[in-house]
Amino acid sequence: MAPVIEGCLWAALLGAALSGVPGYWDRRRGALLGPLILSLSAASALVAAALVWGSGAPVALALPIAGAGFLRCDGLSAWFLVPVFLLPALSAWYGKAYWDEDHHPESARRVRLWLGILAASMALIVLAHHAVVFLTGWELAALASWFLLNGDESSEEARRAGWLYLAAAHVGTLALMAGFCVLGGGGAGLGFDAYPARWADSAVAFPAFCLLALAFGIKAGAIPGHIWLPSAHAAAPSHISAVMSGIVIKMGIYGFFRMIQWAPHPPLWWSGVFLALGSLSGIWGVALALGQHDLKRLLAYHSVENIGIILLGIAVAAAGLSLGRPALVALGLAGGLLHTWNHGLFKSLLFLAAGAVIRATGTREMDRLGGVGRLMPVTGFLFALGAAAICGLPPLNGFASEILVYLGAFKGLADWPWAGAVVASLALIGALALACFTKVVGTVFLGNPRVASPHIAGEAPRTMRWPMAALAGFCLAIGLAPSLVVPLLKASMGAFAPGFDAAHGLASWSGFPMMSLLYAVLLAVLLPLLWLLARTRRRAEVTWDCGYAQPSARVQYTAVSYADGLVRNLRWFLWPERSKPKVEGIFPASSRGVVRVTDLVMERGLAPIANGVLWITHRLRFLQPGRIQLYLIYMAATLIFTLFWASSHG
Amino acid sequence: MTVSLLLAVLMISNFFVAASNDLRKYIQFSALQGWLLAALLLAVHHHLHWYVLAMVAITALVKGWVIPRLLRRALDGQSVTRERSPYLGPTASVLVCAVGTGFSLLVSGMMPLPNSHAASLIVATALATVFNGFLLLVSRRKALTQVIGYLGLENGIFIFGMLVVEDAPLLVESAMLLDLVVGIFVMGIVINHIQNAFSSTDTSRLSNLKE
Repeated sequence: MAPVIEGCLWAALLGAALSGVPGYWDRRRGALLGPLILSLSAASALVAAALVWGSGAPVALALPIAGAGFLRCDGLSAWFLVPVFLLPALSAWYGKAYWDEDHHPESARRVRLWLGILAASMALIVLAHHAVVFLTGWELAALASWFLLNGDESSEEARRAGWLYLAAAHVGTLALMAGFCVLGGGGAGLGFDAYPARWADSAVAFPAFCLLALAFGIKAGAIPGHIWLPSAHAAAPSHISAVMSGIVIKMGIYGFFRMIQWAPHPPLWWSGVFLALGSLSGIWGVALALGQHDLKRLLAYHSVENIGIILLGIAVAAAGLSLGRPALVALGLAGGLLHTWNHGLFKSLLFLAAGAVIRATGTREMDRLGGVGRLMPVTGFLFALGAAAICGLPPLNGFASEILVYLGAFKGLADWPWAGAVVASLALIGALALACFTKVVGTVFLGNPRVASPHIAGEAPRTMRWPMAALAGFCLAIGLAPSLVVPLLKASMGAFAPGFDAAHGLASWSGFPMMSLLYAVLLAVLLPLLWLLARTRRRAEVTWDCGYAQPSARVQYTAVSYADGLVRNLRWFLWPERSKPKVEGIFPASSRGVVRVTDLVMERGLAPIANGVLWITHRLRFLQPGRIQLYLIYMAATLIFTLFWASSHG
Repeated sequence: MTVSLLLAVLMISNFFVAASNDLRKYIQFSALQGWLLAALLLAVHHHLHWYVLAMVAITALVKGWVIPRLLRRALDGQSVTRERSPYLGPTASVLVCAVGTGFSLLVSGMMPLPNSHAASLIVATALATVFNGFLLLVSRRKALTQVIGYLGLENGIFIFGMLVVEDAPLLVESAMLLDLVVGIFVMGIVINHIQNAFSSTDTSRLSNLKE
């Protein structure tokens, strides 16, 4: 079986990497061939993943010259391989219409090329069994994302976001390199085989944990490493945002899972760190999302939130490993892994639907939209479905994965002191997410158009609709019948074999078939009711007329006013900037009120530090007058100082 | 005895370089140092193999004749052959050179060297020559003086090599010499081009190029 798996994986890797190349000869056919080749690669990767799960044993891939020991596919790799190929393939089809040759003659080919390379480089990350291969994939994925982010090269916003992204990505890569060096010390080498033994040494484990957590945290966008994420996701073309949010940031999560696998007996404070990162990202992420006016920026902050949920799952698993509680490990890992898939599915769906709205209306400002659902019923329905899924509402997939984390935390209440915090955070996150998405769906899709949009087109073309429909289908399928993915989860968790017995923690999963049964009954009752409801006659009226004589579309609740109550309640940690409009007298003059929720980590934390560093370096400019003679003196002084320092320490 | 004498002359020649502002004199002293180094090489070897003689010949040829010739040619096109406003004038330079030489003698006496008095003198001369080359680099403005300074640095390292003269392979020394010739050759060309482009070889003017 191994040669077949190997062949499939190579076909997937090479196919994806080269999928954009034909477009450089033939634009028209390239537009079709690119997504097609990427889809075939995805199919090939799915076959390989299925075979790896089936065989239960990791498969080593031999490199042509270097030999074996560099690439390996185990259950965990297989789990991540699926979205790594599936989401770019679906996005590529979507992009065929969304970022087409006619409207983007300069960049359509480039975006196709880098999308394929991005998929291949992420596959390289999850298949890597050696630090150098891992770093190569890591760097390649970062660069590919940067090129994709700058799909629209005329956009100043994208360039700025790109620089921030590139800087953050390289800080992460630097930390990752240092971490691998720490782990590779003591003659261990850079192969991953040696890592479990190294993690057992606490003198190595502490610095390695800090460095790797920094690198993976920045990539995943966990607060406070999220600073690059909102602007990058907002500025990128929507199908690229879908891929970045759906799977690129999950590479950080993949890293966290690998850490858990390498260190089967972590100290308990690890779970505390994961919990802190997870609840901070989750709660703060969704709170910041509440205050956003930009549709894609809002979705980006929800990525931060969902990364938080996944990290909470990892926290539960880490606690289980430290305390020797296999049930916690199984539930935490399963919840985290499944939520990784789920978030990839519904967040991509949301970004694609948002892209369709933006393409039709030409704006991302939620307060300039409204009533879009009537013009784009399919997109509106799919967006609402994705919104319900991301809020963790049954019977959709978000619920299936969050319930696992909940169960894990409940089981840990007995002996893990922080289990209560997991439950509380998850509950708060879920409630705030629901509030936030009622805001989005309400302002964008319901009501009446706020601004007469000059070029609002009708429904999105079919090539854009079916990838969204496919994603929605996956969300529904996993949501309605989560038992379907349980065997895959078990097979993937086989990669974590040494620490615990996966079968031990399965007791709670017997709830999944019961859930499916319940859904079936409920749907059997509700669907006829809905059908009856749909048949009743409807009148078109203004949604909010509030008793005014001549209500206009501007009277509707805006996104800002809808969220204002919650933002005001959360002001003690959101610190919103607000200026009230002046309303005086019977006929008040026109006035403006502004509520702006800024990212504190960026605006009050990093930006002042960066400005301070710039200020200091400006003051130090006199040290660099441009004279060779002076530079030579600097070098000599450094040399002499080093010699003295070395001799006094040697 | 011969070795000590040669080393002493080398040290003194350093002072002459430091005391001068004339580019032609720099070249002359640089050539002199080249000849002295060749003589030194001849003096330290107890057994005169053919390759020692070859090394002596090549050193004399390269440092005593080829490089000075290259430098002189670079100088030919230039109207100004003096350091007009060095960062450190001749008097101050001599004083600094004296301090550096004294320091070198002091340090070399403290170094844990394997053998004799001659060895410590070799180290002292090597350090003093390196120091003087560096002094020339940082205190003068002309591009050609920079080359002379680098040459001084290299001469110092060459003298240091005398310590391990019995073991140093021929290949290493000849490679060093080749490096030097190529380096000087390139710099000679660069100096000429700077002269043509900016009508000056004052390196302080080069700082206009920054940013």
